[in-house]
Amino acid sequence: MTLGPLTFLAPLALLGLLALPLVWWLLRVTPPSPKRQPFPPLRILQDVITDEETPDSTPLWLLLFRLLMVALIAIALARPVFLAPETETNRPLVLIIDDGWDTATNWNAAIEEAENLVTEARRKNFEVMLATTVAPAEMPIFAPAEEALRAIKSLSPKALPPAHSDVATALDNTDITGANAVWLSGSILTAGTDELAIALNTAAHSKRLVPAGEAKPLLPGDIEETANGFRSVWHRLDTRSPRTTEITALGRDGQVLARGDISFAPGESRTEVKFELPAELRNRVSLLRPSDSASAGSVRLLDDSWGRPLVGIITAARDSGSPLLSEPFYTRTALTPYADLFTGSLDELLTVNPGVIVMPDEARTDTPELRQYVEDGGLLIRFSGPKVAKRPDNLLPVRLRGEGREFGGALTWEDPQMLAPFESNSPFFGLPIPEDVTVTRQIMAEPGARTDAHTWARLQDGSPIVTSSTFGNGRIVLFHVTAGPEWSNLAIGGLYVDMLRRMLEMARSTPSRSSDGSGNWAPERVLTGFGHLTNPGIDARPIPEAELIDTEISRQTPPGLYRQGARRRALNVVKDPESLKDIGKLPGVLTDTYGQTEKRSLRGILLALALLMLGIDALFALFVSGRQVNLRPRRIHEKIIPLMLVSIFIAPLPSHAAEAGYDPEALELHLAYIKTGHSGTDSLSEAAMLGLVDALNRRTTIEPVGVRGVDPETDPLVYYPFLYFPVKRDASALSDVASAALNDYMAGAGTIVFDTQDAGDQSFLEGTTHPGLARITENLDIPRLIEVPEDHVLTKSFYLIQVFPGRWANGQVWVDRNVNGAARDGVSSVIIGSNNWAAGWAQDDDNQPLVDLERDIVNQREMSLRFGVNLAMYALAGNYKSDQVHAAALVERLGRQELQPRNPGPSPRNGDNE
Amino acid sequence: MLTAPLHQRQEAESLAAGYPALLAEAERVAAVVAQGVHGRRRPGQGETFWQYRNYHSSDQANRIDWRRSARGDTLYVRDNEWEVANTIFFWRDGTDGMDWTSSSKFPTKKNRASVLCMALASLLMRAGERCAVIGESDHPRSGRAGLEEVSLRLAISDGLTHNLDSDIPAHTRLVLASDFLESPDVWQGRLAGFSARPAKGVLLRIIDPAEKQFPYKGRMQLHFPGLSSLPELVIGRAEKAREDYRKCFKAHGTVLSDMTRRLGWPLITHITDQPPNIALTLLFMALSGEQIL
Repeated sequence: MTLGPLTFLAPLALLGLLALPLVWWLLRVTPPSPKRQPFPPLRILQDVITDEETPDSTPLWLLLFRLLMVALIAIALARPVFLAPETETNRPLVLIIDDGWDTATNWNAAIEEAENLVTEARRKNFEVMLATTVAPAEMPIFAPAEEALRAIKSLSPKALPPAHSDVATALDNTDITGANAVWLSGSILTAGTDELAIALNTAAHSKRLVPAGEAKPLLPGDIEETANGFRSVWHRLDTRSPRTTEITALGRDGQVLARGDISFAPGESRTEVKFELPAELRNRVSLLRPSDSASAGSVRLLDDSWGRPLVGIITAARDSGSPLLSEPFYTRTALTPYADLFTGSLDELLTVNPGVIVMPDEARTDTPELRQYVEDGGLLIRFSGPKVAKRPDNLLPVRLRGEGREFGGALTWEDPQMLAPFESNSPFFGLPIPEDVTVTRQIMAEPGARTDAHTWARLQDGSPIVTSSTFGNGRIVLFHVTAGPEWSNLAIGGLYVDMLRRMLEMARSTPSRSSDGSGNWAPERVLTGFGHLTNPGIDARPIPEAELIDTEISRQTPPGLYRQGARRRALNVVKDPESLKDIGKLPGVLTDTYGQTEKRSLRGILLALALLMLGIDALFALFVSGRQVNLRPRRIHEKIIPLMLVSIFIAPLPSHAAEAGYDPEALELHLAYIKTGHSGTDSLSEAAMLGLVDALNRRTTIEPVGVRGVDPETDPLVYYPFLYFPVKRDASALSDVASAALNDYMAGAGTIVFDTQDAGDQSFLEGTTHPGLARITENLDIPRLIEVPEDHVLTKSFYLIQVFPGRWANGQVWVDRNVNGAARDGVSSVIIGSNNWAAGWAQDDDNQPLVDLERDIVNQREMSLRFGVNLAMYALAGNYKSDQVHAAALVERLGRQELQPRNPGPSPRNGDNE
Repeated sequence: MLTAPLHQRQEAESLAAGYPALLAEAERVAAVVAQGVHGRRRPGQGETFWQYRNYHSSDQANRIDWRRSARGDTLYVRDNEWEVANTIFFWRDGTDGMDWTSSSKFPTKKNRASVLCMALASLLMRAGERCAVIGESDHPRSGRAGLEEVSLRLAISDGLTHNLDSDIPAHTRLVLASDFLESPDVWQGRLAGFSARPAKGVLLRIIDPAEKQFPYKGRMQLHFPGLSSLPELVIGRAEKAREDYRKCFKAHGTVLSDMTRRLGWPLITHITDQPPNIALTLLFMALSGEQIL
């Protein structure tokens, strides 16, 4: 039903207006309800009120107000739509939808718009011609709107650019003069955009919708590895407003590896983001995408050419003093921008496990370790030279002929040879060959079919100059010239750099036997229009090796990852972001932004108005019935403001107290144990610590003054050299606060001594997990552990001991595997044992031992105390005692008497005199 | 429960702080009591133990304290302190009608009555008088601890009407705080009963401003606060009844004040929107003044 510019989508709801008279009558009949009010002098009032109460009717103005409100609701329910006169043209609809990657970021708005338009056409019973631009139909036709609506619902953006000119051609063949044309356009300008605009101008009325600046896709530009991460350039199409978003770097399995923020200032179309990532993580990055731009065009896929591989260069022991003449110099210089280089002897190199090992002739070796390295999948690049020429070894891709040949010298017949163009099965294929590269000397390969198959580069006379073959799981590449400029000037040209880079890419992928640099690239994962990786569809075709570099994305070659054997290549949607232009304004076509249609519905506004009136009516109702409305929330203020003041002044108090002055605890040394809450254990711990304090005071210069039982949740831990932590099997897990405190303590060079106190039960508990310890250490940063080695500092920090007895002497004791723990001065952050040291150390007030020991070893109590002293010394003095201060005693134990045995046995010494 | 009394206590203390300690005149012993001195500190008639002294032949034999005398050879007589302090009994009406205020800006009538009574008790006790709450306190007290006790009672007391019938010593003085909205005849009966004991006192009449002005408009349904047997009253146009009501209320006040003046009980009217100082001053003047001698 249409009423002027108003259209009612559900006109039957207007029947609700018939209820108005009923509302009128009801309101007239029902007076406002009386206000209840307590009133103590009711008795006095009783005498006054004698007449019957006279009902008060609803005032007229309130009556009208309420009627208006009901009318508004009825009208709103009739779904009125306000139609602008320009769209009120009754013609069929031609709908062009850009479904390329540039629309993906704005897809929801575009589809909503399309549905609105087609729904309207359906309502008016007009036909719709629907044309999509990525893969346009040859001959679009007008179809019932219902069909178009179904087609729209099944649309999804493609990871391909729109083909505007195809649509324009198709439209040229169709008569659209009597129709309204609406073009839901994307963001980029293509070659045929103008054609399409012209074609649409033949329609009776044409309009184009473009996405707002924020909804246009961001375009990835160059990406480059840096020494401590990588940086990536991003472009955008619309430069009018500032724009900030986040770039996410994802690994192969979709794991987020890094995030970085980019922001464009107004007028700026290019910005850069730096990521700081360790090399190992950086090499795992396989995809970059902005968080707010879900489009295939905004995704940057990375392939084998990404990452900086670790390259090891073997240097000979006798490297010459003049660097320019040393063989590896040129290789190193060529590779420095593209790889992380490591130079050293073979043994040193193998420990860092590089992806590539470069072996100049000077450092020629064929040790089993190197063979093993290559067989395990390493890439060995080796260069020729006098050594190989003299005696070929086993690590060669082709058989050599022994002595090499020379050309171009004073005594030779031939001229220096140039390189022949690379063949298509060579990884160097496509590299331009400069004129000035000449080879004066080379090593000859034994001719034959095998040599031919393994040749990557030849001289113009056909003799191989670079050969390669697989070796085990790995690969060997042999340059038949030297690594330096002695035999050829290849090493001092740009071609050399490019060749080495091509080989670096091979080093990254796991080498496989099949791959020999030829064959087709098969699509492995392809991008959807929204920029997600998915399996390739049936249209996707493999790309021949030769065409890969020039391949444009198309339906047959969708953007995504392509694989050839073990190699991977990415085909990105956007190759050159600088060349893409914003679609902007086009001549002759009315341009509008998305999201205009929806506002024409008046329903929401009317309902909101009615609701507002309902609220006001409640106030009116109060007013009419004589109730005073006090809108000021006085009481709340009264309570909240003091509360807020109190919280402001009270809250910082504890921290002030903590900062003010120092804790007297810090002035004197205390030993500490962790309170477990189990009174027996705690009192034993306390007695043990007192015993240890006593022993330390009597025997060493460590003079603790007392013992503290601490609760890691509440007490500061930093003052204690170590914490004795008895752990029962039923110990419960630590709270987060306690775990954090203990982790801080360990990070701050503290040592926690865990004692499970159950070595005696080991015979039947052997090999089972200690449940209490497992729970407690769950959230602690426990390093990798090792059983105390014989030469550990703990065995010699004061006494020379090899057992660490408590009540038992045979329990194992574990410490940090890394003896040179960073910033900890070699002190292990945990010591874990089960000997119940507390029992060994504990003594009562009369300095008498509290607990009977098991007598696993002779003089066990004394040895236990000695361990306690060593422990305290170790925690306080670190690796100070790991040097040779005990050399004399050690040598003496070895039985060499001539070194003046001053001390007849292990003896206490004053630790601070050294 | 305890915070509300604390709040009222603080209010009352600050109110009383502005007044000099004032001794209520001792009506009954006016002839022998030096002005303003209350602690007699000497033996005499009273209820509190003062001292044991040796038996004198002039003493009556029945005054000998045999329990004390049995411990030695001499005979002792038990002297009580000569008590001349006035005992003031408070009663604060706590019925539902009192526990009401017309606006959150004013305290309830009950609260205001409590505060005024506490302030008065504070002043009186500072001057050495002994105070109690009728039907609630076991015996009159004085001093700091007594004030605490009386204040607590005043704050949380239910203030039941039948407390007025409980036993009080003769010649005590009373402070009765209520809205006196019941019929003046009822109060005449009660006051006459007190006067017959004999006991006299001061009446503190607390009025809410709405009770005086009747500011209501429109359709009203008025009821007595809390549970009551009084029927609810519906008024179609409350503003029309305003003039009549005011007249009636005023008449009620007049009858009340006439009646109390006749019986010799000063009536002090306090409206809760006014500061309580004025009422406190009036209460003091009434307690110390000539009119209740």
